[in-house]
Parts: sequence; C-alpha cells; structure tokens
Amino acid sequence: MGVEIAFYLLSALTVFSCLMVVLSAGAVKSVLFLIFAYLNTAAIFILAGQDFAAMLLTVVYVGAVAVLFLFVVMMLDSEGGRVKNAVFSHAPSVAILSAIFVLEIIAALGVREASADPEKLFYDGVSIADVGKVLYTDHIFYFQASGVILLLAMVGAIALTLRNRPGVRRQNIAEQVFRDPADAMKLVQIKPGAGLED
Amino acid sequence: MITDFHYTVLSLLVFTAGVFGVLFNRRNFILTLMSIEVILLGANINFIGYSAFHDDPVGVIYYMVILTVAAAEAAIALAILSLYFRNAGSISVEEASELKG
Repeated sequence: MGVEIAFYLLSALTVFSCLMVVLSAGAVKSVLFLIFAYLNTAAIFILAGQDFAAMLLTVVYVGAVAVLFLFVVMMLDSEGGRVKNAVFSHAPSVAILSAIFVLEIIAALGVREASADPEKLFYDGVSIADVGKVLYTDHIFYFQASGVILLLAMVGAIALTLRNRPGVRRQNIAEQVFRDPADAMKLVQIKPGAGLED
Repeated sequence: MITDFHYTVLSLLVFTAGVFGVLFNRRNFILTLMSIEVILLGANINFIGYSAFHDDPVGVIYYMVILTVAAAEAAIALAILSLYFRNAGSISVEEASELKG
C-alpha cells in the first residue's frame, strides 16, 4: 500500500512540475521545475528498483544538463522578446490536441493485456552488475557510439562558440621564449651632462 | 498494485507535457529546449519501467544512449543559441524569422 501511495504522489509531482516547466513565468523557474521533475523521476526509478538509472539521472541530468541550462538562462536575456504576451492565443487548440493524444494512447493501452507479472518482478530491478555484463559485451557498439557522440558534441560546441576578435592583444609564448638578450638590450655609455638621444 | 501500465501512463503524461510545451511556447527558445528534455525524460521513464518489469538490462542501456544524446543535444543547441543571441540580440521564437523569405 505504501508503495502505491509513494508512486502516485511522485508521479503527480513529476507531471505537475513538467507542466510548470512550460507554464511558469520566468525561465529560471522553468529550470528549477525541470530539476524538481528529474529528482521525482529518480525517486520513481528507485521505487522500481532501478537505483543505477536513478543515480545516472541525478548525476547527469541534474548535475550537468540542468546546470548548463541554468548558466545559459542566467547569461542570456531570456525575457527580452517583444511577443511575450502573445502566448495564449493558440493555447486552447494545443491543449485540446494534447488531451486527444493522451486519451487515444490510453484507450489503445487499455485493450491489451499486461505483459509482465508485477508481483514477482517489482522490487527486483536491474543491478549495475547486470547492466555492465550486457553493456560491455553484446551492446559494446552503443557504448562506443555514445563516446563518439559526446566527442562530436564537445568539438561542435567549442567550434561554434570560439571566435577570434580583431584588435585583441594576445600573448605569443613562442616569441617570448625565443627572445634573445643580445637583441633585446643595448648598453650605452653616457658622458656626464651629455644626455641621451633617441 | 503498480503495474507496467502505470509506468506507461506516467511516461505518456510526461511526454505529452513536453509536446505541449514545444507547441505552446512562443516566448523563448530555451523553453523549447527544456520541453525537448521533458520529452526525452518521458521516453526514459518508459524504458526504465519496462526494464524493471521484464528484468532486462537492455532497457537501461537504451536509457544511457538517450541520456548521452540528450546531453549532446543540449550542449550543441545551447552553443547555437548563444551564437544566435550574439548575432540577433534576442532569443524569441517569434522574432527568429529571417529564413522566412
């Protein structure tokens, strides 16, 4: 009974915060609701016995992706659009379309039988050792493809945002290292009272 | 009794909230990106739920692939976004109409 109550509570909080991501007033609030949705989903995963997936969700999504969003929201002028209040003109049609989508899929799900035995499997979950055994043997391609995707994303993000502005003085380390004392200094004998030209 | 049906409905609701956000939002582009993250979260809930109920670790592997793609997509999209903001001075979805012709 406690599991059901926890599941329904966490699900309600997840769906609520996912909707508030869209509907809340400021972009910073949206990011905070997104983090709240991730944490509730992680709790649901723990309820299903998937503790590794919950850890991954917390570390990667909350720790990296949501913080990245928070940085960009803080950095850019996210409220600067002129059309701020034109939002609600097409809201009813979008809401009706979404509701039709949900009802359609729930109706389609209702006609098929449950494929798993929930009593037997619910608390088992999948341990990190099981995942590792499959990930590094049968599904090694996905592992390596993920690495390539991350490398491409890193190179792409750096190449997109890197810029060389003209007129900025930069340190040329090679020039500094190869500087010769013979060229850089000149010793001059000055007679008293003669002064120094040049 | 929590069954896999519950997980499917939950993932459906989260997914639809994300689709609703993509269609609904005209204000700024960051909200669209966050809605896409919510859509991917809905897909992840489905994978993890069925992985738990079928006791099959392959669902977790697909979940990790989706996680990677979501992180990469967020990084690239935010880089493009900051580049666009530098050039146009605004990230409103309505005002980004230079390709309209």
